[in-house]
Amino acid sequence: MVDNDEALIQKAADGDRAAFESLYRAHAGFVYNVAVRIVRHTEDAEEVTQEVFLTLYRKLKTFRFGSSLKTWIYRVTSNEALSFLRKRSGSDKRRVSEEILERVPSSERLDQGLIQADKKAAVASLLENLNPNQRACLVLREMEGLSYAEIAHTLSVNVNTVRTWLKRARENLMDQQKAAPHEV
Amino acid sequence: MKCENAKDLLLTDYQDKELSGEKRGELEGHLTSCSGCRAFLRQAQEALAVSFRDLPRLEPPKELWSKIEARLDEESARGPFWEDLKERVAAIWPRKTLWVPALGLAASLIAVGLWRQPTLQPVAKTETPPELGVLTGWPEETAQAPAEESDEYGTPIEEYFL
Repeated sequence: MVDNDEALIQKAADGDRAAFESLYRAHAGFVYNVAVRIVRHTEDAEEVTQEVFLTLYRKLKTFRFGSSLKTWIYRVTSNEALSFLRKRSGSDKRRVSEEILERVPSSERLDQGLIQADKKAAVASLLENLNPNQRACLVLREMEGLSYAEIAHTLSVNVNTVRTWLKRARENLMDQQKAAPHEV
Repeated sequence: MKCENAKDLLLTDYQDKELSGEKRGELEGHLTSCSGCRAFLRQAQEALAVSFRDLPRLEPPKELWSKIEARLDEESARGPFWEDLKERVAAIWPRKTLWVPALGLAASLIAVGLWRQPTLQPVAKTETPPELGVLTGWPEETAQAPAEESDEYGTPIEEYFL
């Protein structure tokens, strides 16, 4: 596990490009996945991921070794993704699930049947209809398995705000499924 | 326990196994005596059985690292000072598009000021009475940033936990 490999982080903070690339290889996967689920478009998620790693490279010197690097990266990723959405608010809300499914690794696509693929597209589209804060909360909880305290730290809000956002996200999911029960 | 509080917990802490033993006991006690909340729990469990964890994990594109490396090279060539300055300016004035109209407005104000060339006359200095100073002071609580939408404060779920 590369998380909190102090020597590697220190090297990367000192400008060692190979060490930074190792950190990228270890963390790019979850950064990209969280970004995709929050910003909803793969191209936008690439842009967010790029900005996340540039920010990390610039600020790695300020990282405190007592804390978890992964938690810090979650925080930078959520901030970048939500700030990206604020800048782009009101722009195109379409292209999504199908585009996301196209990026599924080919081995996985071969394994999954068409019904399964439809189901996943429907689940992805449920997420699309939430507001960005609710979506970020749900992604961090349901997909990344973070606790309420970790989500609160990541999104810089208090734990009760996390509860409120999750509650509203789930009420929204229930309403969406009442409206279209056959889809998921 | 009120049904409203019970439903909030069923959608959050109960669902995510974040509930303490005491509150869990209280909630389960309420569920045994309230058919409405039991029905709500069944409905929630069905609707939220959607498995987000089963969504495909996507692979970042192979060329992404090369793009990041190129940006890092660009930044190294410019030196850290430039990036630091850019970040500081962006933090003060994040919207670049405002620069042009703002500079235009500033130039117009200077031009109008020069054209009118007002005659300067001594103005008698008036002192604000101390009681008016209090009235013009900004109350401390209103100086804080407003809560984001209605999402953050005053909801029943927050009142319950607070």
